[in-house]
Amino acid sequence: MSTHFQTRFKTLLQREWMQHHMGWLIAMLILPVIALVALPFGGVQLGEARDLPATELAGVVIGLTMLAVWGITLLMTGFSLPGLARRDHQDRSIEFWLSLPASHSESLVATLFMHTLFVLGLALCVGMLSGLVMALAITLKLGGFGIWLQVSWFQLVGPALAVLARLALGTVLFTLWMAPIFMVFMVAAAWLKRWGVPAVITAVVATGITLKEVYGNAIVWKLLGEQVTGAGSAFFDSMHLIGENPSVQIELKGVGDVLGWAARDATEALAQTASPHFIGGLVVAGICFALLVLHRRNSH
Amino acid sequence: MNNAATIASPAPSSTPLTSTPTMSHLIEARDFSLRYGRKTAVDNISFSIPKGRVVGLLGHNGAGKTSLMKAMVGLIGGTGELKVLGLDPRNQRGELLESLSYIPDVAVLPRWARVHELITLMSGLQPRFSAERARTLLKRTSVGTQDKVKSLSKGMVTQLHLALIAAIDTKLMILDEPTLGLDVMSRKSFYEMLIDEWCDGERSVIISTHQVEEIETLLSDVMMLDEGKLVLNISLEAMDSRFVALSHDASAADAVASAHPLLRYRQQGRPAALFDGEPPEHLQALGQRFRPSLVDLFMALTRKPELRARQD
Amino acid sequence: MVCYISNTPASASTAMQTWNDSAPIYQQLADRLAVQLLDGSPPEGEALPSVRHLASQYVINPLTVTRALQALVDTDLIESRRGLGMFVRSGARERLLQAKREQFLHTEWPQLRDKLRRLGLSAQDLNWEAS
Repeated sequence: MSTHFQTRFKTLLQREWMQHHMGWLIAMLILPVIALVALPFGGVQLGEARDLPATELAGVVIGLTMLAVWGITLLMTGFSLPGLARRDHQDRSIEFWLSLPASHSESLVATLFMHTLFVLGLALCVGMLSGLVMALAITLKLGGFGIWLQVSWFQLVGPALAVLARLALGTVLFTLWMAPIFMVFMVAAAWLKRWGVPAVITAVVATGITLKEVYGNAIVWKLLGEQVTGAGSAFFDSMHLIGENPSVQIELKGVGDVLGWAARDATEALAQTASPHFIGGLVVAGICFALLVLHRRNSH
Repeated sequence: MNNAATIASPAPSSTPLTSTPTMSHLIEARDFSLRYGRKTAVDNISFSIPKGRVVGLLGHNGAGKTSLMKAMVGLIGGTGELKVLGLDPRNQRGELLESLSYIPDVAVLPRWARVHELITLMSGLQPRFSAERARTLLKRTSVGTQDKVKSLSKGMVTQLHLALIAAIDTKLMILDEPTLGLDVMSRKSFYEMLIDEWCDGERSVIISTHQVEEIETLLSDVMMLDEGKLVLNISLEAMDSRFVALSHDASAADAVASAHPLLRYRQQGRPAALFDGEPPEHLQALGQRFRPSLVDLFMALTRKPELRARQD
Repeated sequence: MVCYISNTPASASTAMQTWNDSAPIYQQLADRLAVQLLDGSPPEGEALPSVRHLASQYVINPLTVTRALQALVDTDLIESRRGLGMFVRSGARERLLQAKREQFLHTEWPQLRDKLRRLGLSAQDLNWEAS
């Protein structure tokens, strides 16, 4: 029975890949491709980073590309999540899926996993690889082939992996922090169809404004704010170094600094999950999941 | 005079053909009802289906066929008792679906997928699916493994779906209008496959269709639903001996009418009447017996109220 | 009424059998099989095709085929040999021929004779030599 489950679950994941991988890859690669194509024509805006030594410059380019690709992917998947709840309903293929053995929970978990953790994790990898290509291109543009020899690629491996690990953990925590928000949208889209998302936004904004202006209670904004900042810092810079000291990044020299930073930032991000906002968010997300299961159970 | 009500289904214990009491049936229903709000889709029906049968589920649109089939595969729940392969369809849906094949009544294959992708997905989800068999069956159709579902015509989608389902090796097949949209040759091909592969005495097939004439020879039993009620549940063998049709001259019309047949109609231009049980002796002399087709019986037992009013 | 009698044992028969309303389907199938027996197909002492084979050939439910075979058993045309299947009994052809002759002479011939009289045809008008 459990091997059936494993095969089934793997197949459910495979379904998501089969259906969406083109869209995912296009979204992830579009920015690097455009940047690379534009590179020969435009100047390179790097600000202070231009003065960095070659290795650090390459590292920064890789890092920024990773963040950019991740960000675009986040936008893409964020907008697609509410639609996922109704994805198979419009063409009635839900009847086909429901005629095959796979529980509602399994199906929903597989979908959620692939469209959050997996796709964002893939974005990090694609971002890193395309960042590498970008780094090669930019250093080339700035200093010719000679620069490539100056960049100590070997030195970058450690920090790159450390940052990748930090961001991977960050992605997991980010998703969990944001879960109540996107799952509420998914439930609304499932039950109210195309009016779901507007209905939620309207309800939240109306409640927020009413409570703030009429009762002086900014709780709605506070809760949302806590959730989003929690997510943001869980993903990156949980120690909130940026903003207080803009030049901090540049002071990180060498492998040890980055590895150390990654470890400390990760620990801090984990520590921050011991928060009522995080736990409460998970409870809300759990309720939403149950509602999505209920919705799927009643679709026929 | 409500003739349909007198054609009560035989009690579940009097099953049509040989069956030992200890053998549990593939499907058992007792006082089963399905309600949507105020509408009653299935009204307090009881039946049981042993293995080795091909059961035709007949009924007009909205009679409850699709609802009953959906209940059998756990998509909707009702009141009363319904057991499929010994399981509760609503609560043990996952486990049940590993042992039965179901075709819903709409062409529902995911449009984004290619045929070979569907084969891969079904291999992973349905343990009894055989990819090789699916490919073999598809060779007989005009559907290629690289085709995208959305590029296929409705008929080809149906052929594809049938091939995929036929590649699943299960004891119970529940098919809701499986041949809708298929041309004659494809339907024939499907019926041949049904007889060749599924009539081994161990499996049972429940099939609902509008093409009652075509399917009559494939069936071993028939269940007729009319507005949610099971108006007939009988084996074809018993049907042969129970219902009698008489074709007669116009002059005998009054005599025939006074014997209260189930249905009066025309058969090849001559007036005819259908009886439940033997018609009176004197009538038999006035006419010629012939075999009532399943279509005629279906019309007799599931007449719409407006038609019934006109007859009386 | 159009009916094809497919004598080829090929499973993918393309002829869609149509059954008329004269008798239950199992009876009509039994009659068709009997006609084939008359033609010596299969010969006496030989086995009939299996139930599954016949079901596949005529696209009929095997249970109906079984009933048809039972009808032939009941008229002493075939017999069941355990584990081996249905076999044509010796003398079956003769018995069947006899039964068919009786039926023709008592039912069909009088009708045909009346028709011939109505048309004014005599024995000389009938062309016996034509194949």
